[in-house]
Amino acid sequence: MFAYVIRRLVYGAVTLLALSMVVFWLLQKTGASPLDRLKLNPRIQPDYLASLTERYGLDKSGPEQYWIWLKRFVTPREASIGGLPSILAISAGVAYSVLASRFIKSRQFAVRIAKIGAGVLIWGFVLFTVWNRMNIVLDWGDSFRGDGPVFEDITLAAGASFRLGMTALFLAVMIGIPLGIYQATKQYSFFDQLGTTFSFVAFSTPIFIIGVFLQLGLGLYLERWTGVKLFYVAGMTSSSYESFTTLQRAGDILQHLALPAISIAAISLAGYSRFQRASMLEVLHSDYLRTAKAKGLPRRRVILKHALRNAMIPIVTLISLDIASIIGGAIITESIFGWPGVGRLYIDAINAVDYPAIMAVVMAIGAGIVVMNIVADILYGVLDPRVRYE
Amino acid sequence: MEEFEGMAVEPVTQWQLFSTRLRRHRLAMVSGVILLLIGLIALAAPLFTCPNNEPECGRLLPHPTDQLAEPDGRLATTIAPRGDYPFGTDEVGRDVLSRVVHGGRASLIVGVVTGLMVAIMGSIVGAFAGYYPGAIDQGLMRFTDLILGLPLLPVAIVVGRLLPELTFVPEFMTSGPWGIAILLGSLLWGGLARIVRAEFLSLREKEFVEAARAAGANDRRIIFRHILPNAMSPIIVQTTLIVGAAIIIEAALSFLGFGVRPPTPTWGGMAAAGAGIAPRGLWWELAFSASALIITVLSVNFLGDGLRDALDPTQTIERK
Repeated sequence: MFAYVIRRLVYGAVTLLALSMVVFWLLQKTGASPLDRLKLNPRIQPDYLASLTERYGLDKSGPEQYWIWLKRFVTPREASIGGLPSILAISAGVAYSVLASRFIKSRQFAVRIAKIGAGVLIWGFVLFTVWNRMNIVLDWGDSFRGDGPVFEDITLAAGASFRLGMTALFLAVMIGIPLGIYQATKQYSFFDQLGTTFSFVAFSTPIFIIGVFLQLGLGLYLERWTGVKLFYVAGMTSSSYESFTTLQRAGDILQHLALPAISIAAISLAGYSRFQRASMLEVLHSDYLRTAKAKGLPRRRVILKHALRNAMIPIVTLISLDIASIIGGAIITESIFGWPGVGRLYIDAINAVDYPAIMAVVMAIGAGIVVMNIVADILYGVLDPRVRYE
Repeated sequence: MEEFEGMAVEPVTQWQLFSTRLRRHRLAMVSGVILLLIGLIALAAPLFTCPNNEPECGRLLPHPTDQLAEPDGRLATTIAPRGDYPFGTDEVGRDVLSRVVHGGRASLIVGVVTGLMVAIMGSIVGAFAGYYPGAIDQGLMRFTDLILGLPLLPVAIVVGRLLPELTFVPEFMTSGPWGIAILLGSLLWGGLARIVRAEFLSLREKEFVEAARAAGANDRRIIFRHILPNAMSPIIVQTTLIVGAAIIIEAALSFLGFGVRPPTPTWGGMAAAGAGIAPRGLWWELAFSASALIITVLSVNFLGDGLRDALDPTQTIERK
């Protein structure tokens, strides 16, 4: 297990390295120097250009420039994980994981869930502690658009993206999975057919169309026709947010969050419900479930206890793999709804061909996706005792 | 007809089984017909719409007799759907109907080219990885893992943005759908390669492969004539899924402005333009381009669903 995690991490690092090389190489091959765009701006001084040339080694060959970039990219300017409390927390997390995987061998469902739950809690606490105390500043360069250090932009935007992504994920899971279960228990009913049709249509609809239609329908025209402003169509908070009371703030956030979150959630939700329905049907038609029914257990108990547990295993992987598509969907949704997240940062950087920003954001997004893929594989193994890592 | 214990038996071929099953899947058949129609219309588009006005495409309103005066006296270039412009005109007065028809060409090219590339590359990589264990398998699969690990949309966006400026890219690929199609084709084949490899791993051990080898067939013949035809079902189904995904991604790229560049009409680009004018009540460009896109992708996915049901040999023909 441990070796497996390490191997996956190494592959992940190689993937990210390849990603950075591809994007860097593409940026080199555009036929224009990174500074050509800056030179068009009359307000930029020649000595600034010279300092940039020196800093990024722009007069050197491509591979050398890449090497300079890579060194700067991974070398932190300031780094501390926050002293003793963080170290203690991390050691506690590692100790729990090692002890739990070594000594808690029971394959009983309740024990597994308790083990995983405790692990999640402990590691959540560890991450919280470290996050609050650590201070890592990476030197990812300054934006060519004059927005200052890219690293700061990304850490700021990451919070906004996290808020949007988590809400979308929550919506998709909370609606999609019960929907799939209900559809499976009522197979071929009208509701089931309706659900299947809905998920098929949602699955075949590009996310930008969902976003635009929500924005126009629920955001703009709802207000225009009824006079009630339920949702905002752009931004994360109102301009007068600072003067609001706590309750008003919560409402304001929800009003801004609703539409982009729904548009990201809709497609994932469709996928989850379809998948959960299929996986539930498979379990419902299995022999052990027939046995459970034959024993005379109440239907509710059969479904909730015997069927659901096993039907939930594949969906966990699907959800963690889907994080990648939520991140991807967020890029498009954020640019539609003007959400100040990483996705919009990326689109802005790309529109301006802002070299340091493009490299930094693409690496940040890539890292998020790679890490989530690894988490998906590990979770799958933890939940399904049939999976063995070798 | 063959004789079997005195009875006339009609042998049923794989193909007959498949087409019987597919024909029972009514939705898939309807989708297939719709796709065929969309394809034909897109192919024939240059014949009956705006042959003189390319590349803008969409005949411009003859100025000014055809234009309607708005209440404030301005001449309207954007007119609502009416008899001679069934889908209305866009912001600069181009016929939305002919642009929607032409927009299908980009989606069609991306769907077909990406699908073909994925089918060919995925099959070949998967076949070799599955047939030759050891170094070839390891090498090819690590490469596949690498491609699968790349974040698809961010990479597609940055390549799409830089495509017109890349010096080593041939001219025809820089702004049209071809570049996007080839880009998506080279990013999306990983999943299929994994599936084909898994099929080969199990088929390679089957008796018919041994028989072929005993009969003196070489590796190439065994791979392409004996095993690959038996792995066709997952290849076809997965390729159909990829075609739908590719059309969606192309539309998303064009929507963001990083895909097929204007003035070439695409459904994604028209949706973006339509979304810009929709708040003023000019709904038609968005509505028609979005509908075209959804109907196409929906048809592809329904067809894929039908193909999956029809190609699955473990499935018995029964209807609930």
